[in-house]
Amino acid sequence: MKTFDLEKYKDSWKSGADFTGRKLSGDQINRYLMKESNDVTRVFKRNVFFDVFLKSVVVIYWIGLQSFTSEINWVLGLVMLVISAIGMAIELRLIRKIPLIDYGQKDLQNILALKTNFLRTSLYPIAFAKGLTAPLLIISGMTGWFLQKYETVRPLDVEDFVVFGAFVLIGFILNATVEFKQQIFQINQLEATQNELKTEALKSSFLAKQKHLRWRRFWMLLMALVCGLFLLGWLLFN
Amino acid sequence: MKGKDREAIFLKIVEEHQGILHKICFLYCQRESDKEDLYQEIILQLWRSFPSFKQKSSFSTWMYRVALNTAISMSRKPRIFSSGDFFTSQKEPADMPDDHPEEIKILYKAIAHLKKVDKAIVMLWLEEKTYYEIAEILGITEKNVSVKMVRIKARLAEIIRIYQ
Repeated sequence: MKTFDLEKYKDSWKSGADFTGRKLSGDQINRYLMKESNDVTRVFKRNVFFDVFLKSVVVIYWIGLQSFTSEINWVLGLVMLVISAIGMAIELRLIRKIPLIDYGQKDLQNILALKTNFLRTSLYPIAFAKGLTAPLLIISGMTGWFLQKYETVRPLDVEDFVVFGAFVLIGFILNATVEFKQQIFQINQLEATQNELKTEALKSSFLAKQKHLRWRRFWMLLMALVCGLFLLGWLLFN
Repeated sequence: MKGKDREAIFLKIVEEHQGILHKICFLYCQRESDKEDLYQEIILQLWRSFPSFKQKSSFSTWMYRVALNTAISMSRKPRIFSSGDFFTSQKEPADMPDDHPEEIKILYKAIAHLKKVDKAIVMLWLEEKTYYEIAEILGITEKNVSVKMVRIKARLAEIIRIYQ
């Protein structure tokens, strides 16, 4: 393996402090401070809050429907409220679990582990909770459309149930899958970086072990040689 | 320290040490939009972590720590209509000014070819951080840093030979 003298580049490196020729003013830096973070945990939080907002709209809508019209079966309304509440409870619980990471205090390994663990543990709950939003919106939209068009929710026959049921199911699966895939995409990237950090650690521990074994073999050979010489000496002089 | 005073001090120090920001964004991102995202994210994380800056280490060491932690742990967004990847597929830094010595241009180009973690190690090493400090920032052992440095030097030698 050929190495080279990287030392001579140190001065060049330091002299290149403003290599790009770019200069940020205090105002520009201040403007960056006003913006939203794109850190994976922050994006997660924003997306979950938006989903909670959508579910809240559904809750308000169904409370409104139950209060202002008797055309809606109260059991359906109750089911919608319970499903929304379950979804929101899962999401709010996950928001509380988002790790607060101080990048100045933690090391990289630790930061990657915290993010990966959070995304891994929240993977199925968040996919399920977000998946629920599509069926809630589809059913709410459908009842709204019936009420506006026919002023009642007309009884559904078997065929209607199959069609609407399929839409609701597809909505759930699509929403949950998109969320699941996006999160897996982030986890894979974080894990790849973790592996990049660990690879040499594994190699270096292997090398250390090999070095230890080499020394052990050397001492054993040396001892055998010394013993052999003593034995030879004893045989020669006796 | 009051909020406004703290903000003023923060802005002043970051402005003074912005060379670190430029180096990291330059080496970790190719696209201008990605660079902007990274500038923004690093500055936000520096601001968030600023209250815990204890002045045990120099500001530049602390800034390197936050900025590298941000750059390396920031994952790219899934891009449906894009062939390029944020950070990973980058091979050469863009918009490299012409009026700099050839030696430094080659060095930057060569570092841009390294993996994310290797880039961080070599940057810290060029800043004359010890193996202990590098290991502490990255959360790996000193032994691991030294093994990686040997490999990084070999890799850089290969790349630099191609450019020369």
